Amino acid sequence: MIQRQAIEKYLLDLLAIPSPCGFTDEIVHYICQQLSALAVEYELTRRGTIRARLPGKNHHIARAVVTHIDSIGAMVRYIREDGRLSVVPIGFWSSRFAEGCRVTVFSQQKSFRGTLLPKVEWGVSRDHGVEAIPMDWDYIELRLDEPAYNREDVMALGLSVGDYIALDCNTEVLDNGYIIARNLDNKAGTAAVLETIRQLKTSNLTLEHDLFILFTVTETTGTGTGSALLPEVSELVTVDFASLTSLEKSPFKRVTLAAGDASGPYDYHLTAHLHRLLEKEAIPYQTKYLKAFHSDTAAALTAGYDVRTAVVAYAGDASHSVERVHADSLVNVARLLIAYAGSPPTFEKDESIVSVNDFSRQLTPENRPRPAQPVPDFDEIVDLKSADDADNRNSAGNNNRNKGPRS
Amino acid sequence: MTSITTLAVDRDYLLARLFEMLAIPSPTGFTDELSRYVCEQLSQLGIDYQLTRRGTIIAKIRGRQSYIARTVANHLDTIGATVTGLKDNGRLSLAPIGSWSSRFAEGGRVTIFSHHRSFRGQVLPLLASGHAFNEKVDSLPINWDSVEIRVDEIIHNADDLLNLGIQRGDFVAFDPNPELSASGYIAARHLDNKAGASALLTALKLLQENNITPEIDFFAIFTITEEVGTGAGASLASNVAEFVGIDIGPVATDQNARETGVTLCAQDTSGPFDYHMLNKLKGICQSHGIEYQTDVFRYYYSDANSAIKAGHDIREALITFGTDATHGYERTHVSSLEALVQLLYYYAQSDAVKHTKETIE
Repeated sequence: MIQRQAIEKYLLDLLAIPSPCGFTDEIVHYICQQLSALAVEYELTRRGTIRARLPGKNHHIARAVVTHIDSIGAMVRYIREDGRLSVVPIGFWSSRFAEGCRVTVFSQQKSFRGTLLPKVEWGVSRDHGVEAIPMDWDYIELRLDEPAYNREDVMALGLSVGDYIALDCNTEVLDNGYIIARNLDNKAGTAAVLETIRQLKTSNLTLEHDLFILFTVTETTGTGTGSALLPEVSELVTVDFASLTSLEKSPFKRVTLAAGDASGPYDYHLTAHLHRLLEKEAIPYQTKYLKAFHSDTAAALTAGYDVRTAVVAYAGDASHSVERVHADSLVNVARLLIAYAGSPPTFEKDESIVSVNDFSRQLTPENRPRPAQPVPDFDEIVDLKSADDADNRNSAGNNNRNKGPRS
Repeated sequence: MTSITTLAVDRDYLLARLFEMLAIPSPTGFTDELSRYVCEQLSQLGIDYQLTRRGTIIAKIRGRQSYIARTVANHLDTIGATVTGLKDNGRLSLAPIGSWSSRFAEGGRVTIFSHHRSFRGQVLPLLASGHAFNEKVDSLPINWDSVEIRVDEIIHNADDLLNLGIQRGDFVAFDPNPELSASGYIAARHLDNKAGASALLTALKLLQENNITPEIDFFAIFTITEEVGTGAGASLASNVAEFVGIDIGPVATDQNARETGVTLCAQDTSGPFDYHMLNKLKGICQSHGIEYQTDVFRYYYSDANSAIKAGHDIREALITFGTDATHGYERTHVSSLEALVQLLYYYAQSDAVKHTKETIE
């Protein structure tokens, strides 16, 4: 049984470890430690991508589940004469959600506390227009909680351009299942994946095929899976955060099965396979096309892997802002992953090169296209020779044009 | 300049393949059947090929030498759309597959593919009747949020759509409405890139019929995700040194592309193409009297870019059939496809561009 408490425990740990994209070494160590504790074998790349493996009986094809452990954050861009720091976002997010954030700045020697604030001439009258300041990273500054009033003071502290900035997560876990924090994207998904692994290990389920669990470190900037896949991986399921829209009714406990994202449609057959599993396990879900979403799937395809891709997402609110998820949605994602691990592959014969006889089909006699009916052949319904005769009659003075179709 | 080459191109074969491929819907992600069709055509031509799990086809004609190889690439996927929402009014909201304007989707007759059956329908602006909305019709914005699909089923609300089995993520394919004029113009949607595919198949047939052994290994790949930017990444052997994309060329005001002859692309959004490859292709056109022009496509990506992004250090070129109103109501002339066939035929027999070994001493 997937345990909600276990997911919450993993999540709280993950939220406590800052991991803006590019500053992920420590969260990598944490994941490796958890994998070792569960006696799961893994490989670690030089930059920190983790490839854990749950061995199956067959190795000719394999499947992979990917979750990213990097998060959004920011970086020091310039140290200003007044001792404030200009910043640049890490990942794609609006400065609207940066305003008021408590942050930690990591210099090489030590860390500092501070707040991201809009550039307001504080202490001057409101006429100077707090409301008129644009929502733009150029109008955000970092106020260090240090007695530093000019550029030299800041430099003397040891801070420099390029230092990483991590957001405080301000985590709250409520009894009713809601979890509120920054950076739930994608620590919540990672917690669900860790609980899935724990469950698979403790239940001693025998897998038919190797299952790789990939923890990537640069999803937020668009290149997560490029170096993590192996050629035998035929299917890649990405676990990530998907925002709800206000139109959806009570969807917070559901799994979102996405059909595609800004990088195009996901694999038809793998998505259909997951769809069947959701139905079979009676897991609440919705299908959705994530128009403005980017994830590790695109990175795998861009890197040149011919791999089937799909995305299963937990329901979240206000992504990259003050995020909120419901624990049940994470439990349901983990339930789907367990079902997926135990299911046969989408296609048994799914090596990188296949015979056309084994190749998949999307059209059936039932859903085949039915073209529009052509209009009848003009010559078969209109005899232009007799029309000529009619014209001749008209020109002869027998004018009955009003009967014609042109009127 | 008209084509003075005496090389005869099998126009009937080319047009038959083109019209058959137009009859098989293939928006990106829904290309299984078209991949199967092309495999069948290759088998009939007696050409060896490999098929990847998702449907990319790698055909090969063995050359005299194999230390390096060349690839010509052509995509089979087309633009299309996907269902993004079931609306309370019983209509469907949609998002584009590939990058194209909803202006050209308006009025399009479509097939919606659910898992168990297909449905007919039509893309319409939200304000679709002057009788009902008068001049407001003219001020409705042109974007994908301002169009919807009217499904040709008796439907009154979102529940009716659900009961029919239509789901978010269902593929939407646009009718191609092909027409061949007596003057040789071909008007249809999805000439991008089924016209290119028909030219490539015709060139392969010509090579086979004349028992040509190319100078170096000659790969012809048919990719399936060009419209979303990842077509060629997974289909190149490590010895491929030259890469020639075959694709559509936009004919428009201030563009040099024409609907006749081959249009050689010197640069697109991803940057300039390989200098030496472009000159080589120009040279082939000149020496065989193939009509050509060069052009720069400012808002354009193709499979060459996806190959480079996947980390292949290849010389790349792009050869195109000039087409009016690309990703809209497309039109090209059959002579441009014939010119492409001729260029491909002679290119396959040409020497490798110099300095194409993987590393240079």
